[in-house]
Amino acid sequence: MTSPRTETATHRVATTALAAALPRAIGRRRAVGRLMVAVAVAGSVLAMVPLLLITWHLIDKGAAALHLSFFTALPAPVGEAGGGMANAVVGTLLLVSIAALIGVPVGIGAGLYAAEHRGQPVAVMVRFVSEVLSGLPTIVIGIFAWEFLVRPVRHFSALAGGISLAVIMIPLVARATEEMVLLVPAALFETALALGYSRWRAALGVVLRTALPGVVTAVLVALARVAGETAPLLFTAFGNQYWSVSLRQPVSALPLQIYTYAISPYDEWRSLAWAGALVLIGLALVFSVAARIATRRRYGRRGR
Amino acid sequence: MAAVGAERAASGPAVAPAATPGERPATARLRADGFSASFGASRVVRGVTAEFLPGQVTAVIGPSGCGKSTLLRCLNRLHETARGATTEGAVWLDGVDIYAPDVSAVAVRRQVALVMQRPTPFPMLSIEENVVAGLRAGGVRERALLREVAEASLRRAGLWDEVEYRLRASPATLSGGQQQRLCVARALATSPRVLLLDEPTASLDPVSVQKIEELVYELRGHVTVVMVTHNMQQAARVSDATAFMLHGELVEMAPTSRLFTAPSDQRTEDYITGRFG
Repeated sequence: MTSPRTETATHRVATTALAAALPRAIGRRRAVGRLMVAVAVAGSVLAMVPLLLITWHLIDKGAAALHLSFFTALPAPVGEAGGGMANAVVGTLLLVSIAALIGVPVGIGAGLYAAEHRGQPVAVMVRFVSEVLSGLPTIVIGIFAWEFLVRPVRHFSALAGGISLAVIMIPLVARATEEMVLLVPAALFETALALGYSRWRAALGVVLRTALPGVVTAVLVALARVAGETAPLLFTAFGNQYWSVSLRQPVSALPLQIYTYAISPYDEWRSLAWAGALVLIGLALVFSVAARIATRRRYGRRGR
Repeated sequence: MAAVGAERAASGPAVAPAATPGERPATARLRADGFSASFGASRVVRGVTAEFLPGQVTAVIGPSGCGKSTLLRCLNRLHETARGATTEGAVWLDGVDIYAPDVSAVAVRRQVALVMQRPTPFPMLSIEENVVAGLRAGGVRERALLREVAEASLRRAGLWDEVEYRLRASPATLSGGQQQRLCVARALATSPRVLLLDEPTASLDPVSVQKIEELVYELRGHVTVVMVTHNMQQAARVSDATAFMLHGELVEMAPTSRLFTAPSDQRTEDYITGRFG
């Protein structure tokens, strides 16, 4: 161990050197600091540009076709004026509801389990599977659903579409839930146990409930994401020109309708496709605003 | 005091039904018997035999890592919830071994409450909901009763006057000391017969420390208190008996006045005179 005296001497030398170097160092730090702020500002502007461009373009092209009839009327035959995508709006809501009904409980359950059993083989497995699943191209999930849910019964169905969307949702929800639950202090879980909560009650009533704002956000973001999915619906929900809310029948969805209309040669259809895209973005906006409201703390701000 | 314990023991399996909520908790005699606890291969509590007398405040002191917190967590079967945690031996709560195979850990924890080192109010519940959280988990639903117990518990924890008009506010609006007293109120709400305190003042300012100590002092006679502390002055101030632990073993347990003035073990003397730890 160095003696106190040597330590002091070393310290003094260091301090002197530091004092000499300080003005130069500060000047450089300021310059680097400004540069980094500039980079950050440029980055955030660049990140916003695509969103603004897309939104502006959609409003420009789609707002014209966006009448009330868009939400009330069925697609009109070619050449006929008017017509809407009411069936696609309803179909998307139906598909997203099925996906939520299956994906939310399974995803939250898997995430909670993985968080509560962190480090254990089964939990590691759950996490690994979610990671792989969330990296899977969605069209692969669509083919999978087609093979197991469409081919055996020989017809496309809303159920098959909803399930494939649920499969996309599950890993998103599971991973977010796991992360949120891991943020909850372990002492809260123990406190609940010490108060005579059973394990499942402590896990759901205290841990999950504390993590809930984050989980709700993740769920709504996942819903917004699957609402815009097209690929897995191509061979499952398939699309439908007519009204249908049956789980066993093919059903229309906004992304499918947009796809069909956008590649069509008819101007009315193409402008309806723009309107559909605008509605889809509006739907995503509704979901994220709902997420904001849901995650607003129950008790306003923290602090005294 | 002993009579109360005997009466309880005589009235059947003491661990089974919780006392009526809101009723003044009865005290209980708690005795660890040749008790050991481990995390995996490392044994943290080694063959501890200790008796915590009804209505008394017992302080458990010892250097960091001596196993005092683990011992405390064994007294309400919380230790076993950690991964790789195992126990040996028995803990008798008024004549019932809480580690007996037919005794449920949940039932034990309703009778032997624990307050953690740092305040742990449930952030998503209001102050009032926090106090009655244990009761609700136990299936109590009547609003009037819950309200009544909440007030009684907050009064016992000396917090009522400070929160009376903001029972619906978030516990995050309370100071650290108030939060800790809220946790004590929450622990008392289920009418436990034993209250375990794991360094309850370690994270608090001096004024809050004093309030908690006064509270512990007032609980004497109403509930059996076991308090882990690393602060010997605190142990001397609030406890009737003191246990000194070292390397997982119970070195000495005696009435507080005797342990601090005339310890019978050299290691105890070395510790309390500040020679180590």
